[in-house]
Amino acid sequence: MTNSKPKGVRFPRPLALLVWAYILWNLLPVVSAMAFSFNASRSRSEWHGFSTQWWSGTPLSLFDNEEYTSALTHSLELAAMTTVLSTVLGTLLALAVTRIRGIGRRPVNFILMIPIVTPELILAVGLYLSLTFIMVWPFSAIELGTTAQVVGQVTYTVGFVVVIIRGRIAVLGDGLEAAARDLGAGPIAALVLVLFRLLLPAVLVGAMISFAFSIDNFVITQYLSADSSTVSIPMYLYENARGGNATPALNALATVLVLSTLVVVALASLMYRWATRRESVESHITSTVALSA
Amino acid sequence: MAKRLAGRKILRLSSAPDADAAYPRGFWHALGAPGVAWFALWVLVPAYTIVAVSMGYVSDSMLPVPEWDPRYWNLETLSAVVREMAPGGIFAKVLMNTVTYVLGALVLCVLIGYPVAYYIAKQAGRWKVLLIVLLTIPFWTSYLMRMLAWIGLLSTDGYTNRLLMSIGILDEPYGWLEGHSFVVVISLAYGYLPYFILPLLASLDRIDDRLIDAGKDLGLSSVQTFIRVILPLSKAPLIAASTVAILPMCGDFYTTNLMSGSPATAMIGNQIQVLAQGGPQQNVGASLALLLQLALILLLSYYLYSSSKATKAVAA
Repeated sequence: MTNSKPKGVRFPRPLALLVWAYILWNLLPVVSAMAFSFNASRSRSEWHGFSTQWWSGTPLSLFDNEEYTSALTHSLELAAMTTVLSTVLGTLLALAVTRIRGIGRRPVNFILMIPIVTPELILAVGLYLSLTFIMVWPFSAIELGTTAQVVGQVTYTVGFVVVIIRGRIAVLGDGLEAAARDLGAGPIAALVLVLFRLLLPAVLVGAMISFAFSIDNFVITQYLSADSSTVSIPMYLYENARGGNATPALNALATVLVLSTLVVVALASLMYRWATRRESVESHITSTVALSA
Repeated sequence: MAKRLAGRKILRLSSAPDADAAYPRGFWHALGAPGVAWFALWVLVPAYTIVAVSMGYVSDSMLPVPEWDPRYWNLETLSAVVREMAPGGIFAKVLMNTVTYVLGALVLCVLIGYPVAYYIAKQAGRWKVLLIVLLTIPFWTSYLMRMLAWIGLLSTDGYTNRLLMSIGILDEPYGWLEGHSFVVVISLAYGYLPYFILPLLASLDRIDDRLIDAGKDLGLSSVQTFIRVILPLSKAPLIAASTVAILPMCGDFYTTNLMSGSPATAMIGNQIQVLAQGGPQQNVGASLALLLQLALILLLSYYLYSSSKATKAVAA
């Protein structure tokens, strides 16, 4: 980058080797598991040559077996609903928490952080118990299954959307909006035509992150599921990972999961870079790290 | 013209320093209302339900009944659960497992994650961006896929056993996935290292290089600079990254189920997961969840306290 000279204390080469070993340790197993979805035999641990039989064309393949296709469609369904809801709620909340002065700001910030710092299992248990024990609307109206799963996923995801969008509002400041008003725009026009327009990249990134979180979510989705029709991809992987019955089609299912998340996140980060291309390189690195942390 | 501009400026100064005066009163509160209502319904009420079920009663038909009124809360279940966590109790084993596994995994996270994050933040030079991208890939790869991948490699006829047998370390296949604590600890570390490394990398990156140069200019050797300058500056980032990794590890039940599958390696998450989902012992499950959450709140408070102390020390 601007300064490519190594900084700080010089360490011997082994440190660089450790870094690369760590990265390979993380990437190679996943690549090999993806490769096994193309195995010519039933084994998921011994390679017998290349074949696409576990992807499509045979009754047990990913795209032809009802168990897999139902998990795929259910996951996509959940992700679509979660993305829309948590993006809308997250955008409104992000605007509110950055602009509310005085009373209300601290409690809202506090409540937003709860799902981020609570283990998912505890969120899931709380939602499960309140949906089964409380007989008052809206708790009584929501049955375990798709609706409950969306509620759980949105609750888990909104906080992260707010963090992303709030960061962007802070960078933009309120100068541009004030300028728009000085030029004659009404407050709502300034908000929609200027601020929201400038926030759009961050809102889309927030949407993509919600999608990725929803597709990958396991604990909440499993806890709030009802029957076999509400099994998502991660739930199916969990239930069959150790079973002797699983075929390489399971690896194909996992491959779809991994690739869809990675593609969406890569698109989000490229789009964000493109939308903020006139800003400094340094802020790109910070945003990449912040996005993932 | 000048007069109008000047007037405008005075207007600005006299109104609120933010540019919000133009919006109707309560506008921003109204925008936030749906989200706040959502969180109240699906975060606060569920949290209260956990308490109510934990402090509730068991009906004549042996089903748990939550107690919503704090005046009638019943602490028996909670205190029984605490007693059973003492040595010899039925929860002693899972508590011990949870503490040792989480601490063991945390030690591995520090030993592996700190050098990796430090190198990428300060030494990687032109490789930095590429390395950060490569680090974010496992972060965004489904956790279950990362475990699934190792289940294939560690199975009895998998490539780990074959490799170790071909170079003569093992004589016969080893049952890696058959209930070993050390496999669970390594798996937890492996699973949560991406969550540990990225925040650590972000904060190590912000350590001012001039401080390191100053140490060297004042005659410290590389090792001394590391011990007396870099390590003290890494303390707060390490505490933050450890908190990020500990929180989800404490609620984990799937890693040990997938990588060991044996009840002997069960963690507190396994116990909560089984008990809270229906059946006559939901109040016990809710009590365990409540105790875990209280322990984590203590941990978080310590973290917030130590980070605010660090901020004050920097400001002073």
